[in-house]
Amino acid sequence: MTVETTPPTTSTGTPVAAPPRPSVRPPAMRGQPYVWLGLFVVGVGLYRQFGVTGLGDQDLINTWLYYCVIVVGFYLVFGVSGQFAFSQGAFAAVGGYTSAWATRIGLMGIDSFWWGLVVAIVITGLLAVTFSLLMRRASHFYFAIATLGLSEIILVVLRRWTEFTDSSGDTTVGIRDPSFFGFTFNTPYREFWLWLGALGIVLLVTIFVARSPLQREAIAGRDQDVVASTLGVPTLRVRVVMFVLGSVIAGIAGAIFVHAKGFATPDQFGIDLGLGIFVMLILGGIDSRWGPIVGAAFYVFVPQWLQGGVLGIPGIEFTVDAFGQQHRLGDFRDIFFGSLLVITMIAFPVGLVGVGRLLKSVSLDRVHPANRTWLSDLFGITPRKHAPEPAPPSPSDVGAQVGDTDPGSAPTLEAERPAVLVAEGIGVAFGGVRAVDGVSLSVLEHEILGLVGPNGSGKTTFLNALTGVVPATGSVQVRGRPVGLGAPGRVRRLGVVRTYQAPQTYEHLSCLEDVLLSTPDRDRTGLASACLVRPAVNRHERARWDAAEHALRRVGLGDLAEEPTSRLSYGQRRLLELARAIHAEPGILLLDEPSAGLDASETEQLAGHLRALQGEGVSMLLVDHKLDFITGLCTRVAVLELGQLVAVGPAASVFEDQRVVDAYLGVDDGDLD
Amino acid sequence: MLELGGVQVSYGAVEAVRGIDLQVRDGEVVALIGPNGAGKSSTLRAISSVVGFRGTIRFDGRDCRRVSTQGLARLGLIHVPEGRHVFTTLSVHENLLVGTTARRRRPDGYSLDEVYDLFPALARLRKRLGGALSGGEQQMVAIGRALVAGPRLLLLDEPSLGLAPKITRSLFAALAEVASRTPLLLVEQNTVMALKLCTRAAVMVNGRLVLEGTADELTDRAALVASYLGEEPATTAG
Amino acid sequence: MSTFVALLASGLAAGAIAALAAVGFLITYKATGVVNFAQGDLITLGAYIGIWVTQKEGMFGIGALDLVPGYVVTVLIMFLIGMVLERLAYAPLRGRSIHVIVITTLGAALVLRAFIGLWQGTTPKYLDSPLKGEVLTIAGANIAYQRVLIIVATAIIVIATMVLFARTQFGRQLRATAVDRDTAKLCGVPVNMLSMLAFGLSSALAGVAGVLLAPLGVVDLTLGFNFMLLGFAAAVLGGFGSIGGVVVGGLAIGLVQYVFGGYVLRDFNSMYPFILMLAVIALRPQGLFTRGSVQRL
Repeated sequence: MTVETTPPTTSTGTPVAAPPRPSVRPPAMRGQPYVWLGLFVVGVGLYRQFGVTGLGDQDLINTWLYYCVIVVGFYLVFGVSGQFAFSQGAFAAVGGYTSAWATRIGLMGIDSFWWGLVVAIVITGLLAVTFSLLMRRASHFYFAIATLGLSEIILVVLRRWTEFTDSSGDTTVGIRDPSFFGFTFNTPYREFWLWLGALGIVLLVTIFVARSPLQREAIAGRDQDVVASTLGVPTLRVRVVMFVLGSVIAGIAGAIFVHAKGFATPDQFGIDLGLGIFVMLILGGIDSRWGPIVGAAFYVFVPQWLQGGVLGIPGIEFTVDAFGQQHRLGDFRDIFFGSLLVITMIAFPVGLVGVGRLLKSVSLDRVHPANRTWLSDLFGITPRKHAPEPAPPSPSDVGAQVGDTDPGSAPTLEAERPAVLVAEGIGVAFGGVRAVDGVSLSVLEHEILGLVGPNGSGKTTFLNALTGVVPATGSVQVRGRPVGLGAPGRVRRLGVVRTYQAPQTYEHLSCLEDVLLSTPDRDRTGLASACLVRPAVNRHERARWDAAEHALRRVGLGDLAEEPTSRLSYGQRRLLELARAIHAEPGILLLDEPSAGLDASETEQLAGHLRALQGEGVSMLLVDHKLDFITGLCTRVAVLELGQLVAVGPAASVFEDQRVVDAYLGVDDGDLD
Repeated sequence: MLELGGVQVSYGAVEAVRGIDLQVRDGEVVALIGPNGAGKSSTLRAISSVVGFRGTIRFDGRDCRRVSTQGLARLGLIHVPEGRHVFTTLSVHENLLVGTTARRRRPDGYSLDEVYDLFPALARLRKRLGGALSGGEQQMVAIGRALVAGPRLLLLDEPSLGLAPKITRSLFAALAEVASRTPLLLVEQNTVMALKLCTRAAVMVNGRLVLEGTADELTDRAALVASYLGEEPATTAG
Repeated sequence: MSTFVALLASGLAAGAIAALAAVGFLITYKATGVVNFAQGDLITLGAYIGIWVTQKEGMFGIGALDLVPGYVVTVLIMFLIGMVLERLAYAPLRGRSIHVIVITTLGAALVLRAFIGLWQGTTPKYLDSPLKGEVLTIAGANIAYQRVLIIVATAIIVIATMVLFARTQFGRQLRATAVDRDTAKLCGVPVNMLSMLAFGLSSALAGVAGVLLAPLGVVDLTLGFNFMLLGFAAAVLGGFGSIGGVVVGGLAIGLVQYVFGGYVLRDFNSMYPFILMLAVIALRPQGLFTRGSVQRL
């Protein structure tokens, strides 16, 4: 995205029509990930054809590919979706053993590796979805413990249920080789192609996910899921889908693994694998689909190299005398990786890929500008530049005229306007403290109702109660329809959107993606669509991008659409939240101290935006402290004190009310004792 | 005893405190008042080293920058934070006992019994868990916990927050007794009560001190209301 | 009847160890908010150090100690190791998100296990008990004295820990820090020192668990990890809050695994505690013994 300067002119000085503005897209759409994927697959394939010299090397590469597949699944579960899960190895076990069983007994009469794979996918998927739904109320930490428990249960079952596993001792043998139209993958040289194909498909799926709403919704659910729910993101569904997807990928890896090896033991899928998966993803880089690839390479090849060389690269060949025994360096593998995990967390939590990206963007800054765009497009990153000052909103971008609309001049009489939001008897208690105590309030159509009160009077808690962020008693109706309290996201469906006291923007998303989270158009946002009907997804996405960009332009952030939100100033983040609310096409807007932290001119700008929205038919409940801001926008004002409604009335007279003044400044009733 | 010189506090890009100078001398009760969001709490947090700051802060002549929050507490700089913050799973008595951690052989501190005398309501609630107390009771515990630490200077952040007027009255009556023994720096939104208690006050708006003077000088409510509404006050006293 | 009594004894002993493991990481959790996933490997380390100190040439060649002094020395060494662990793996990460810290404890677990493997090798070893495998006979069942020792020792330790938490200033400070670390700082509580001591104490308890557990069977690299998992189950049932709760949780775990599991599908008995744990997480994530709603961790 280039910043436009003076319009270009022809040699005669007549202005040439400015080229149409390139449409704004989320950063995931930049770059050429399909190209990189293709290059990777071809590159590895070529190496296999011409570079691999022995069975040992081939086995090693196959192991590396196996780990790549499993850890990519884990990347989706943990890296993208933030679910701390220890179950990846166990799901691989489920996939492996289920496939072995299905092919052994010829389930439903079919005797084919691919059928076994399908069965593995189905069983793993069912297990994952059941587990994920059962544990939906668990916090991150309890979920992690639950996955540990699940893994243990799975491993015990696999160790003991010998009718299913057909094992003697611990081992199941005689698992058939995979075959494809008569071509049997019975040597590591042949199994390689199976692995490469699987990895290619799995990486393709990650690209599909990244280029669909699912990725940004998973990230939003990961970083701040309550806020995401209030924006309308189906956080539970997204969480479950990502968990199932990642677990099924593990199941696929497990199935190919046991068929390729021909035997299976539960220990292959135990805690060592589980910890190894963590190490590979963290070390490689938790934020990128290539992180697992790099991490697995490190995990597989480096210890071999320390043992004396790998893939033709001569290694370090010395031994250490420790604890009365001779050890080669590779024996210290786990200490090495464990320490590396600790060091990575302390020093470079973004992992190797993250470090690589940093170096890339730094070096790209030094490349000639003309080459920069081509290179940056290929790498999919923008060379670092300062976030430009937001352009002031042009008149055509702002809806109604920003003028001095007298808030009292609404054509309909107040008494005749219907109430769009009716809250009755709202109460919120924290332990022994009653933060909100029986508050009943109505917001009328097209009005901006102010809500003021001293610190600690319960204003934010009241908004939290309405949007289901805290449990509350009482009832709420939106346009006559009752809404349940206590779960976030319910009022969003009826068009009620809120902003927060401190702007809740997502620092790992770009501005555009942040705004897109509140979209009212939820068609084709799921995984199935992302993989199977990409043209339809893209069509809806383009429409959504345009609408989101329009919202950003309205608040003056249009040029920053593709920038990460972390680059924004505080005031810009407030505007971003407003743009997000605008994009939601709300009927009712709940604003929590939107002017906090803004200076006088920014506050005036904000007031203009709100008036414009009011002109478009949005009703608002405005909580704030700046009394002149409130009186300038609101016809009616309500006053809260100590969780109770103390006064409701026309703005002009409410502040004359002695009760209100007392609420703010305190009551003078004689000397202190 | 406490000196602030050119103190600035920022949270990321937001400047909460834009350079203030303030002193609290032995025997004084200073109130810091002003509208919400003025930066009063941030000032206290800078003093007790909870947040970082630019400028200088000296307590008893010692530079506060090098000392940790726990260290300052042990030196007698006790901060009662905004919002009470009692330990919810400890009983009232246990909360007070934790407060004695900072005591360090200072004879002037309150004993637990003296705290119960000051707040008779707490004596009945000795075994009640912190989380089950009402707002006013929690505030008494928080203050009592600070008193048993033997404070040389007490920082109180909005003690009347969320409390009904009647409770605020009795709380400030107790504080008046405390003020006779211990220097106080009090941050308050409830201007009336604050002015009754203090000897000197400063009004803070938008991160700066706009008005300073003795308690009597500042009881002109018109000027105060004006400053709350964000208008420039008529006079700025030095 | 004798089967029942034998199973009961096994169940109580297993539950006791689970409770001991749980109390161990509960102390760390209460002091720092961190769940130390290395606790299991610390138990294993405790067992191995017990072996090192009491067998062959002993510690650094000074000669093998008798069993009981050897145990005491082991626990002291584990205390020191715990404090070192806090300095290396936790203190540098203070203030970072909980995910980061948990992953670091995983790294520490990996290092510990690998270190033990290199140090003592992977062939299983044996640790003796002063009770030398004697058995007690109740109602026709032979119960190893060791199991009785485990139950008694755990009971003593649990009571001591409860007293520590409830009645001492240290315990109060620890609880206060767990609830609100920042306010604890404002009260002058030395939160950093407390973290170190908490890690040391947890590690010492792991050492106790290790030496108590080892004589029952074989000492290998996975010894502690399995009991740590049971400890998690006990802590979940007990609500991750109160010591009393995890003890009851531990007992429930032990009984479910050995008594219930002794009669129903005995081969699969080791999975029952985890099924119970999953049920509790799904239905009542705050545990069976805490009031109030789920804390988001």
